[in-house]
Amino acid sequence: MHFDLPALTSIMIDFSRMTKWIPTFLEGVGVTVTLSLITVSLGSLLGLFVVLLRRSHLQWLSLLAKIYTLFIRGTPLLLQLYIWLYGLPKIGITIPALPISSSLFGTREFSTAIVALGINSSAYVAEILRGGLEAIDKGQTEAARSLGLSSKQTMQHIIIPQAVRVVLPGLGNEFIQMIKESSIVSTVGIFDVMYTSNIVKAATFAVFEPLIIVAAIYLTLTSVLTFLQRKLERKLNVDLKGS
Amino acid sequence: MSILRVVNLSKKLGDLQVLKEINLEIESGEVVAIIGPSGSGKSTLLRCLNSLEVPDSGTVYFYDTEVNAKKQTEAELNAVRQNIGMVFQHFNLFPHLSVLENVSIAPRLALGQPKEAAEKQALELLERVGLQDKVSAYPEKLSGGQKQRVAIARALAMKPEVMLFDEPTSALDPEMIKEVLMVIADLANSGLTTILVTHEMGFAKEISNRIVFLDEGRIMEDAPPEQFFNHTKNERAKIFLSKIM
Ligand SMILES: Nc1ncnc2c1ncn2[C@@H]1O[C@H](COP(=O)(O)OP(=O)(O)OP(=O)(O)O)[C@@H](O)[C@H]1O
Ligand SMILES: [Mg+2]
Repeated sequence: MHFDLPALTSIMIDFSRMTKWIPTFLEGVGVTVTLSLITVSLGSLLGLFVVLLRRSHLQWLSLLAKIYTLFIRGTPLLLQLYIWLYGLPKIGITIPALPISSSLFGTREFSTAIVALGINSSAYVAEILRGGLEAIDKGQTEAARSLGLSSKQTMQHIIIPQAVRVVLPGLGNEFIQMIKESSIVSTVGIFDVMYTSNIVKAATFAVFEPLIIVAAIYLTLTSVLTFLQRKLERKLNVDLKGS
Repeated sequence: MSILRVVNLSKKLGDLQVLKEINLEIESGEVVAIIGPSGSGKSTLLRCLNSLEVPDSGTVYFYDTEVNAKKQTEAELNAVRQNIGMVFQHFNLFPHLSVLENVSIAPRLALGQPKEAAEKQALELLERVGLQDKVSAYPEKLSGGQKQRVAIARALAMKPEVMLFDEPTSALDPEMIKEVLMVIADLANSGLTTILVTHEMGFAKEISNRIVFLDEGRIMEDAPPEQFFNHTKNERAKIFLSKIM
């Protein structure tokens, strides 16, 4: 086998040029983690609401929730982001920038991304929560109701504490998923981890190094989160016991 | 006045007419065993008594209150259910709660009892079913027989006037059946009104004042145990008895 030596050195990877960009990468990490955290929290609240609609005895509410879930899960996230950012403003629906003077978080793009990603997340969270509630044996409800507990007490003290344990891994996965998927916001100029690779590339003309660093950052984030999730699950299993 | 009264009750599940024109009166203090072939509607009948199932037609009365989850307000229904204890074949203990919490949660939530009072009562009940050394255990650590005894204590904690048992020993290993039957016998002998669905014929004969024989959704015979087991004239009952005795 023969290598052309000059050609090989010309693709040599050199990380020394990257060190002074570390603060930029870290800023990107801050944006990605903040965005994912807000998004999944918002998604969880909305998701809970969607499940309640879905389980409603009123047919049309349940249908509405179904259509919502179908639409969100059946179309790409990037498309949903574009609709919120470029489509809806045409008919007068604009998400205003957060009232903070930060070039990272105080832009219309950032707040719109929170809404678009949060709504997207809610449809997935709703499915996770629905699965959790359905995983609890109906004998649990029957036992509680036969003792004379109200349906609200049964939900609050019997079903939800058990469902939480069932859904926790799913919610953790949703957060980890969001860390990765939120990278699409870089296409609309939000300064997340992915976007930092563009900045560094433009400034240093290095292409591969920033990509490798960004990959390492995502991998580290998801690994650490997976580890924390395992630990939390184990702790919860000890706390909640039960079969 | 009868403590429970079933009038012309019919119930369909899916396409199956599970119960057909059931009439039944239970007097206070009676111990009634409901027996019959698998699928004859025993569980469904029992579940109609506390409105876990709502009849298609006919009525269930607890004293003079109609028990009906669709007609009563939730508060009315809960008030009736607090007086009707139920024990299930598969225990249905709350797995996230300790034994003590399983037994004290209903009085605390439904009756607003203070924690100390509810736990004191739970301890007494657990002692009565022989599980005082398991108070802080979680259900997963218990044997089937122990689980069922906790489930009985849990139901008793509401001080019900009637107890419904749906095949309380059918999910148990043979060596654990006796410990549960002894607890039930103790309750029945104490004068607590008891309705028991069971396949344990010897036990039914021993503790009950009445045998209700159900077949294909109808009550075919309703008689004292001595008469039912030795002198029944009903052909279906004879076939049933010849198969299991
Ligand atoms: N949701 C349902 N839909 C249709 N059929 C049902 C449903 N639930 C129960 N059944 C049927 O209704 C019949 C009566 O059920 P039930 O549980 O009351 O019988 P059972 O006498 O308690 O029987 P077993 O001794 O097996 O417990 C059975 O044939 C059962 O398969
Ligand atoms: Mg049954």
